[in-house]
Amino acid sequence: METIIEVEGLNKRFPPDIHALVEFNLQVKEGITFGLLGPNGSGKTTLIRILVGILKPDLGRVMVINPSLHWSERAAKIGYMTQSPALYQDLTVAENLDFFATIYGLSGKEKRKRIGELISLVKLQGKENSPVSTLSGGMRQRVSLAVSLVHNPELVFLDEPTVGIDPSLRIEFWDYFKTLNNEGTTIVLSTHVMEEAGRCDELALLRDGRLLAQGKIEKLLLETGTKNLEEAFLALEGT
Amino acid sequence: MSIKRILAVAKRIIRQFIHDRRTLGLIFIVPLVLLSILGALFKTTRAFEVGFVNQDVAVVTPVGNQKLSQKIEDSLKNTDNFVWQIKNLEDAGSDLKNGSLDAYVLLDKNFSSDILNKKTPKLTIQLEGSDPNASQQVLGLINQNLTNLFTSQKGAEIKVNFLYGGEKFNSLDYFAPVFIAFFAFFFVFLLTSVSFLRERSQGTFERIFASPVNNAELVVGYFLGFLVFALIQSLIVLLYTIYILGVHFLGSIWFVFLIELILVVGSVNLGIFLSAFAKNELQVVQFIPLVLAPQVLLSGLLFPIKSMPAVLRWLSYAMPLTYANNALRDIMIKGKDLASVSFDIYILIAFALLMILLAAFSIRKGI
Repeated sequence: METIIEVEGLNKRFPPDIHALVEFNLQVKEGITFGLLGPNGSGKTTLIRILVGILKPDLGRVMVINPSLHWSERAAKIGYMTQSPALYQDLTVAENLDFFATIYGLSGKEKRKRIGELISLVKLQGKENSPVSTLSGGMRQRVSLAVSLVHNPELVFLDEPTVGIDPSLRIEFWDYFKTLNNEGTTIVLSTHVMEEAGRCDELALLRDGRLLAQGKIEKLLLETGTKNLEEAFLALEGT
Repeated sequence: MSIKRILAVAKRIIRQFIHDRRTLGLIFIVPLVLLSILGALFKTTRAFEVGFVNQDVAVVTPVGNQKLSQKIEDSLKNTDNFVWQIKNLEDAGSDLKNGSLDAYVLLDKNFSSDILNKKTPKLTIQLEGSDPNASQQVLGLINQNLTNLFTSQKGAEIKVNFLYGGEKFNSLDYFAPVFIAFFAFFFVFLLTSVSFLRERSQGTFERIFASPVNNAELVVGYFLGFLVFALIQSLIVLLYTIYILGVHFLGSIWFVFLIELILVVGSVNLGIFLSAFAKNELQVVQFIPLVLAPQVLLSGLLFPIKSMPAVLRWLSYAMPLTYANNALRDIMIKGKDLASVSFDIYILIAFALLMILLAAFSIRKGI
């Protein structure tokens, strides 16, 4: 498998005294679900924002998809679901999807078909014409996921994607993530829920802007001599 | 730049406003209400209560006993906006004190004999005086009437010609063009600032900046979206002022739109620039006294720039609305073409370019 993300010696400070990422290294192979596991403030969102290109690192090398791509070509291949729903509250579900589909270059029948598919995927049939402001928190989260996938991206960043979503839909989401992986899409998601992290193909464990460890779950358990991720995390934290 | 992405941004803004009926009302209805109030205020002229005390004693002339003040009395009685009350001096004095008279005119008892003896006859105008504006209007009307009377006595003819406007032009004709500019500038600035602030606070900018949309596409998309509403607003305001309020309009509507278009580019970008310094909607509103109030006072909107103190005059030259007002008045009242207002247009373009530059530097602030 090819490497789709490679990060070396990444540093990011927020003046005056926050060191969000410290000498951070990371490799992500394509076609897998890669989890960023860490508590709040560990640097997960900062890392994602640098990888999607909206934040510049102070120091370090970042390669996403292909270094020879123009930023706009790369942006067109990336999907990004922010931590808060980040939707136009006064527009309807369909209008939000339509706007983001258009700026990613979709049009006509292809656009309409894709919007229909996504509305079915996130189980919002019948809510297409409801303004987002009238939806529940969980529904907004579903629309937000649909928006990040509207252009069939090669690489998707999902920042805490399942917050506020009921357990049965969460399982469906994870099934869909696996389907996307099978189609060749790489998913990078952040979470602080151990159970969710356990579903990822590979994990990076973060603490205070530093990478504690990276690899498959079995490898992390083996290296730390622990039985579950929680214990592994605590063991790595102590080192 | 992708036209498709620009149009997507513009279409989204238009859709957002169509969903927001209250804001649509603010853009389209409020200017008409304000202009109607202004129209009513400008067209209403107050009638003044003026007492007339004629103590003149008749004198013997070749054609018999005559009061030579009679012509003055007859003439003054025909003054527009005056309600004449014939009084004796005592009543006139007490009526002035209790507010039932605004002024009285007193003709001395020797008025006729003074004229006959080639002395200067005495005519006294006693004003209530507490309202300087009313005093000036009363004095002006009496002076005008007396001047007309005396010149006609000497056989002179006063001919009044207007280079621009005409007898039928009133204050609303003078103010309507500048309010068209003001409404467009004000609403576009306010709504852009709030829209951009929302994009920042709701996180939609995160998504847009992670997409292939670049800064220029975003700004042009915003400009086009707002331009649609600004032009519709101007059209409604123009039609309303011309056909309902009866404002005189001599210029080309396309010239008006062009001035407005340049002004809106500046206004959208000023909104984008300043929204970067606001953390919430209340802080956007705080820009109104800072950015808009000085322009209302100093751009020639309400007070003529020529009569301002030098310092304020220079300040007014630093404000974009000054040039928009000047150009629109020249086009609408004087019927001038674009070449005649080219200086104002260049300054408005320079302002727009400066704002684009500032907006470009600040657009990603806080992201």
